[in-house]
Amino acid sequence: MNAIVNSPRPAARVAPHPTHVLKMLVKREMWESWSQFIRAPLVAGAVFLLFTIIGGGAGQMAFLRHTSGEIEINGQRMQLSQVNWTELLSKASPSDMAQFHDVVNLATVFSGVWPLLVFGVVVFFYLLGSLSDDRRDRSILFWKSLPVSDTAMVLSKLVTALVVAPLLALAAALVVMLGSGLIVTVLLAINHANPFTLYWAQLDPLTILAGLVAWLPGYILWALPTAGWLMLCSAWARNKPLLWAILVPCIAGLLVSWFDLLRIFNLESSWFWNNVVGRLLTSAWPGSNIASTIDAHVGGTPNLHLDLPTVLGIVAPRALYTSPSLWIGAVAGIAMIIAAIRLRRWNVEG
Amino acid sequence: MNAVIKAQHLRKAYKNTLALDDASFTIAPGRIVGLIGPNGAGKTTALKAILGLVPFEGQLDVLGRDPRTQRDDLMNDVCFIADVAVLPRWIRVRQAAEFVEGVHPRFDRARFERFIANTKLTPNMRVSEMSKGMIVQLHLALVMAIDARLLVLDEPTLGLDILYRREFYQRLLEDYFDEDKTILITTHQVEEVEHILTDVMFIQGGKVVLDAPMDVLGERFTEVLVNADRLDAARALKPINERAMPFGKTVMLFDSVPAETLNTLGETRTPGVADLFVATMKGTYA
Repeated sequence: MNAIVNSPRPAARVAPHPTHVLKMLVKREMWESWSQFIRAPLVAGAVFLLFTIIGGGAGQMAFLRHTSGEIEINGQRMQLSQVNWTELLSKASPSDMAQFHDVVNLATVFSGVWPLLVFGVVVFFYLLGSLSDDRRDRSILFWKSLPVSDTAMVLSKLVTALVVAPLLALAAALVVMLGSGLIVTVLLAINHANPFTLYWAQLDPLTILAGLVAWLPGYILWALPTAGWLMLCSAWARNKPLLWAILVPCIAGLLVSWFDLLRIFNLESSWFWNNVVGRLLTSAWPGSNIASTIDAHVGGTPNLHLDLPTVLGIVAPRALYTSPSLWIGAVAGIAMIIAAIRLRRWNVEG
Repeated sequence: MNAVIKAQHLRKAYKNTLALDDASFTIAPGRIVGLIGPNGAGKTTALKAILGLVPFEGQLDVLGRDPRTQRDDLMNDVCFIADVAVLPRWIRVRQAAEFVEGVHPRFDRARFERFIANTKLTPNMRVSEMSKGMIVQLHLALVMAIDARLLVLDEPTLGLDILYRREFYQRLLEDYFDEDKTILITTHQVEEVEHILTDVMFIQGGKVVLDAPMDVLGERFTEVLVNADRLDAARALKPINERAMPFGKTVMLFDSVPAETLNTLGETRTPGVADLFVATMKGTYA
């Protein structure tokens, strides 16, 4: 080690590999924004868990006070602590069992929703500031003094927003799911029920994990137009990128609605709001694609049986990949990102 | 050896002003060049053109590359400090070093640590906790640890106290500069840099009005403390500037007048860059 430090310095090391530079740039983004991307989803999840504990505790108290610990099962009143759960489960009909199984799994999945919702807000503002904050505080003059291309710089921010940050949000969601599982375990144990047979044995962790991982590629493609639009505004606007990002599509939408411009194409104005304004502004929100594909997925089944695969199928629908909106939006998003890179080349000051 | 910077007919127009107006100059390697001019003369625009931060017209060759089209490659050999305190406020000393090390092939971490050792900076300190002088120390340490061929400094010490300013230039001269490196500096504090410069370049209204090595400057320009009785004789030699002093004496500045002629007029001395600057820029704001 010392020998290297003290030996005469070589003229120049080999230029770092592009992926190494990209990794370094993403690391830089995380240094700057880690508290938004890690702390915010975790705090949201922690608040949810806290309310779950308070709610569970209050329910427990109410239950003990009003029922003196007795419940009614199949018309028989008995002390909760004396219920033989194993026997009950073994006697339950297959449809009842299936329903119970679904309740356990879906409750677990939904407990992980909060970190993802908060991530949706965080990523919106991150993208909006991604190419304007460093111009405002002039630190761009430092970043641009290093041999890093504008393309690498912009791509690192995109990768942070659409890959690293959602993975962290998913990790936070899993932590919260685990936390809610532990709370359920404790509540069951207090009531002398076996948490293993009643909760953990019913859980399909691999299905849940696979479902969440399957959600990511669809999310990335779906979010591209919003990411592109927000980064474009961020690269272009001198200040107040938020105003530009919201006003431009909304005013365009109002003009389209007032003058009914889409009549020419035999389309309602709502088409523009859904497919242009909505896609530019809301697509980075996890689950924003659900509205567009839910019809394709569950349309015409009024008595939908909500089990785990169905719900995960709604969250990460296969139909999404055949929807033109996804691919056209992704192409538009990439075009806007290229435009943002070009703007970044000369837009240095404020 | 080839020129580090070769600029020909640079032109850059903003909405209402011409920031660069047919500016041409050449900078050789191993020089410390002071680019000096009044506010709005085009100094910063010239530097930004060299650094590929603004588009412009004309030919510009920096280390064999065109900053407009080959900027990414150029930045391997060029380093700059544009303006004071532009380091991001959230970054820590340790992170700044790690980042530059990660992206710059010519950054030497050990050198950086050596420069930092002489300051109050600690690895975990954030820029937001530093004084302006400390931010500049950090930035300078980062830049000096990069073995670049051209270093561009745009008002690097603006707003710093005299201790930091002195230290800044001292460091640059002692620990950084050598015959393979070229430094281009703009500053208003001419007096503080003139002893380290090898060349000066005056820029006014987007044009280069004077471009000379310091030693030539001393031969060319002479300042004379003219006695009252020799005023008319002195004026006949067309001084480029004159200003009155107390007790009836007048200081005149001459360009390319032989020393033996001037010696008869009064006491002579070599003018400072600041005096030359004032004389050359007469009427800029009129």
